[in-house]
Amino acid sequence: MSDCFTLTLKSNTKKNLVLEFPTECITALVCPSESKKAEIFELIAGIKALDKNEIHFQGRSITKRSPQLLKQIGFVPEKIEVISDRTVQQMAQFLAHLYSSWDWDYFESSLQRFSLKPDQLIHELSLAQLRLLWFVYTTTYNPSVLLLQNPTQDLDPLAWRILRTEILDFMERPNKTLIFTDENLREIQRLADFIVFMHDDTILGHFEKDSLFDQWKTLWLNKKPPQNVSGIISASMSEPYQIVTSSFAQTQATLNDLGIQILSSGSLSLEEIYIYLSKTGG
Amino acid sequence: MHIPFKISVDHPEPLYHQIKIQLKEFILSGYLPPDTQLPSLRKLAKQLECSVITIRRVYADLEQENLLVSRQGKGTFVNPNLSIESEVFASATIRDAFASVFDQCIRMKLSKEETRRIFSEVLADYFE
Repeated sequence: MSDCFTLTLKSNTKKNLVLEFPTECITALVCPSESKKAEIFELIAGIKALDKNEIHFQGRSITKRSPQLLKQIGFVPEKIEVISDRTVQQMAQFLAHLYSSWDWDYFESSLQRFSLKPDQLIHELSLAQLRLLWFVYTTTYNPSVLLLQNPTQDLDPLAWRILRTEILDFMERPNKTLIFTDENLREIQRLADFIVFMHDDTILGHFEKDSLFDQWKTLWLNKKPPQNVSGIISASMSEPYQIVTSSFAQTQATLNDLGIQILSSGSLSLEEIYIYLSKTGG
Repeated sequence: MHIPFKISVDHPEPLYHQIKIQLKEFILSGYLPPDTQLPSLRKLAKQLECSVITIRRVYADLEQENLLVSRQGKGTFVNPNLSIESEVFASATIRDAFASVFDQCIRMKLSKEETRRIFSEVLADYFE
């Protein structure tokens, strides 16, 4: 991993929020506030003024955006409103003038994979088709940072499967950073490398996905554990003895020392982890 | 290329460890012969629904152990100079299996003598 794309949200009254998005990785933002996630995307994509906030990208701190920087960022919002009489192809020709990195071969093959036709009028496309088309336009100009807002929304399972493959193919290109949100936590679990949990203006945690699921476990025990076992965040003290830990390795070692056997273990869902984190404040 | 891993996030072993052990077995058993190209980090992460960080770590570790080699711009391959003696592989696999059983004995606080007694009894059931 070579670098991080960083967004610092500065506050006069509270602690600054520093959001780090590692290069060559997929980071998911999990936050119940749609407006907070939209604000983060709009700040990164240049739709909203940075004001006192700051971006750190490719080794430089950026407080004012240049057109060059904006061309390195691609944003596929959940809802796209287009008032245009252009066809898919005419819009592509317009965009190709703006982006010197435009790749016609990729564009044409990508349209076919999504069953989109070059002569379709854009304003006649469904919401889902429009989002797929925007994904194609955006990945055709090959930005370094790709933002996807609720990509599974309105898509049937087949269309999502194709989009998911396209997203992962995009991430095979060198030095790409992907940041996404989605209401479908199962898809976040499948796709993300890193997960950032947020609640309003607080970061509850920033985790590499596999260590998160390795450490957060539900355990069933053969004996009642004492109250002070490290890592335990909830426990059922009647049979069957069940505990939830956020530090599995540590809890396992302590239970071994106490002669308590783990009968079974299971991972927690992202939703369950989010609930525990929001109760404890992270 | 599809490599038939069997991993689970419910398993007490960390994902990284499950993937590493299985990949090692696929290589040492000859299922993945020398010079076989492995999937890219992203493709294997997709197949296993795990993070690319985990796959990167597994590949790096097996490279350290000389089981894999990475070629600039081409990807990761099973070491073409790897010669696997079947007895060496059998010995390594069985050692790993015993190590896991002995770990369990330690967790259950069995003494060396108790472990040896059980081991001898099981050995006698199979070989005498």
